[in-house]
Amino acid sequence: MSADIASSCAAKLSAAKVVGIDKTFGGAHALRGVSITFEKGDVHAIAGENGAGKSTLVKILAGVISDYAGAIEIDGVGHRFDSIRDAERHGVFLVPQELSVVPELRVGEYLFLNREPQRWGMVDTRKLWTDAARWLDVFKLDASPLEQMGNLSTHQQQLVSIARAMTQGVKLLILDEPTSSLTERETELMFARIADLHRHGVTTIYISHRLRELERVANVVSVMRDGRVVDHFRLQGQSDTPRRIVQAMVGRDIIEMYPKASAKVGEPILSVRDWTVESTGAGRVHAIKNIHLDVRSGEILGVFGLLGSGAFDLARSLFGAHAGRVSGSMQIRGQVISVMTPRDAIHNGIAYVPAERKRDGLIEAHSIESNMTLAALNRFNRYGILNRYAELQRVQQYVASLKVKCGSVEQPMSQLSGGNQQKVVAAKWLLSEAEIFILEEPTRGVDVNARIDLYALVNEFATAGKAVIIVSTDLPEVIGMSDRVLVMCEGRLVREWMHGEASEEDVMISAAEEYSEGA
Amino acid sequence: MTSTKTVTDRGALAKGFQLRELPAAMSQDRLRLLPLIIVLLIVWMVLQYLTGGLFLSARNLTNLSGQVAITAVLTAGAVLVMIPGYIDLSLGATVAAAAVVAAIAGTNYELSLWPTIVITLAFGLLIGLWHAFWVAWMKVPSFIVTLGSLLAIRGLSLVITNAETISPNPDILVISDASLSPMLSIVVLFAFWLAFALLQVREWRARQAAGIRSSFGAVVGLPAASVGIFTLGVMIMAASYRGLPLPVVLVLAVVALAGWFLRFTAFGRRLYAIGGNRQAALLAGINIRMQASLVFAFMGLLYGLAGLVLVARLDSAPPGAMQGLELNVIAAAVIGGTSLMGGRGTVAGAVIGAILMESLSNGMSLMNLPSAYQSITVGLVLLFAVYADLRSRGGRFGD
Repeated sequence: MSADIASSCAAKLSAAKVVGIDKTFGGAHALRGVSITFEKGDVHAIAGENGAGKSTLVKILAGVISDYAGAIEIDGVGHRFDSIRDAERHGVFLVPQELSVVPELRVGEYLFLNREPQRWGMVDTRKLWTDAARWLDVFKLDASPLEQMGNLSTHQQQLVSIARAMTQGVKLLILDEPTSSLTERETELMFARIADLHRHGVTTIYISHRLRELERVANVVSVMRDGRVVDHFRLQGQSDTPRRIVQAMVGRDIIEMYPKASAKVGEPILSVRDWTVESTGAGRVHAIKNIHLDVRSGEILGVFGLLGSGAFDLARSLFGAHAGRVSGSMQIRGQVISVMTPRDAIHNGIAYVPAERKRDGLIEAHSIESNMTLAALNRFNRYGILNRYAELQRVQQYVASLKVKCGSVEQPMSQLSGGNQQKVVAAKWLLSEAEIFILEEPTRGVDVNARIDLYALVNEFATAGKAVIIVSTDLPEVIGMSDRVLVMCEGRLVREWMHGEASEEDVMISAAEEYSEGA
Repeated sequence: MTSTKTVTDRGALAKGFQLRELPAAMSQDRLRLLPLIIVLLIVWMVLQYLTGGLFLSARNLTNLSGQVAITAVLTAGAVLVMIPGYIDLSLGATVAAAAVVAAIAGTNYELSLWPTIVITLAFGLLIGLWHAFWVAWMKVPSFIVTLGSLLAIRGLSLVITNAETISPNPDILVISDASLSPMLSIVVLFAFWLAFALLQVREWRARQAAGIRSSFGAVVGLPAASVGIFTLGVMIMAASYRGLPLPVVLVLAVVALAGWFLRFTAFGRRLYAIGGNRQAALLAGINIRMQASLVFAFMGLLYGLAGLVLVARLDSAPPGAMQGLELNVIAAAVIGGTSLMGGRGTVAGAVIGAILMESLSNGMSLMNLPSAYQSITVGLVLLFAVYADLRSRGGRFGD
């Protein structure tokens, strides 16, 4: 197969080429003789599960990893980059999934970091600001060059990072999961910019879990599995692209991405009235205004909203973790309760899986075991001492039933893939015997197989008569999994659909329409 | 059947883990003790040789144990403070102030031994609660709060005493002079070791019951042996001279208490979580304010305890004593594997770090080397210990 890929590409001009790249980490074989040709001007998507080797491949290309076997060619010249700087000098730029910008730096300073225009040995500030303003204009970025990077949204920071690559004569731009933390609207804007780059003849490597995106943005797709390229094709308006990619990725056919089980929906468990949350950011006063909400036992409630809609503020405030002032009343099974802190929420049987898993959800340096029991330590407390028998038994039980792939429960969380980490976070709340599950972006950065496990778990919650709230920007997920879909906009609930009634277009329109009216 | 590919992939990963299990297991906090103990033993051998057999004499070891006691007691507390990510810079000043309080209570107010002890501990607790108030309630960084105390409380001691050294009531000397009889010492030490070994056995059995494969040697054998060697050494020392000095008994008690809290209680687990990821700990329902308050209150009691040992040892309470103690204590904790960032560390490791540092300075005093050389040595040891620690961890993060 790789032979005919090579021959079919020989005719066209190649911007970059990797030949026979091999890389092992300790005992694990991350890449096994990967050869791909990236043709000039293409948007080349690389798809694959977590751990398939995509990230390792682009890290090698971008000089992050310098110790590997195989060869890299840029414009027909062989290179071996030993640092990010080295790769950037030769026109290869990586915009990583987790951007690391210096929040105190101004936009203009960041754009020309390390290459400040100089005059008489000093930074020529006038030229710096005017050049920066020109580039921001090219990228249709509505930000001042004097703005601090930390004040920009993730989307804007990404665009500035791309602009930074552009100002340095980028030949090969690598975008690693650029849309994983973007809202739908920002994703659209990002696609428009990628199309511009395409027109400028920049070669782009695009990595994403979201298959529909690949279809829209890419011309070529390479699918990786277990460190090998298993499929490679040009997109020419085929209708079955996502299916073909998924099949290649997992080596099996996924008939139903969202296996919705119908549970019996019963009495309301959680009811909130006049729920109002003050905003902590600048601008609007209220993040959420006068929301009434009921979630019933056995019900999966999907909440969809664009950035700034208040959907995430709702999730956090219900868990007592919102920094702003919260007013309104909350009832659980008819009893009025007060949730001022996450501790109160947990005592009342509420669980919260945060969107920012690494920042809010887990302790990366600590073991699977201690992460899993953290919210339920009181249950293992016997005469003031932790009952290790019970603790380890429960941990092993959940590792097995949730199919957490790990060598041992003593392994640190940092060694697990995103999907397995998310399973451990979910298990933490199973152990705390929660009744109400608030899940933010439950499958962000999670590969297909682990996604299906997680969806099955959510269905199990519902079947067991618990109430589930999914707050997500993954529209197909919200629609596919929920008994009821709510759309939030400007801190209010704007529309509601029952399962099967909502279409992606309808939901998107109602979330975005009000958005543009308000803006 | 459905996803054989993935299974083999993970299988390879799991096998990789097995191969690397030994270094990984060695770098687990429990087992980091062993290299540290080996280094300590080597240092002892070298000092024994260089001092012509003076260092390991029972008399010097008793003297050394008196020196170690103050640092070790405070280091055990410092680990509790540092694991959730705080720091205590006030030690030198607060311990000296507690000693002054003990001396004044005994001389100026003519209080007998027990009231003096109670008042000194209460004074320490008060300072601890003061720190807790500012750190946990007013959200001032502990670095600043305790730096403030370092300056202010040192000044307070000087004001109260007119910068003069006060002598305590002679009653209090019993704290440094008393010792358990050799027989009782051996029984106490053996009980100490047995309790530790049994707790490790319990851990091992819990793992077996849960079906976690782990070797008896790694969970019980090695830790019990390393602590055993150490206890045996102390036993020989205690039996051959005057028995276990009271300060050493106090160290053992504090170490056991702090170690117990950290390893076997939910309280300790939560401290690690706060240091590991404060935000995640908060969202797991942990009451950070309460945890921090308890830690600083406990530290406060230790100021009082260390102050009592100090005044008994010196038979005086110089208000300017113990300058720089806080840095020695932090260095000892770090040498023992405690992270300045929080989330990692053990009491046992930190106390061995304290013994290592005090051994170096004691041994070099015996060799009549000026304290400047002690300072140079301790500084370099700190640097190399942390470097070795970082390197041994670095191997685990291949990706």
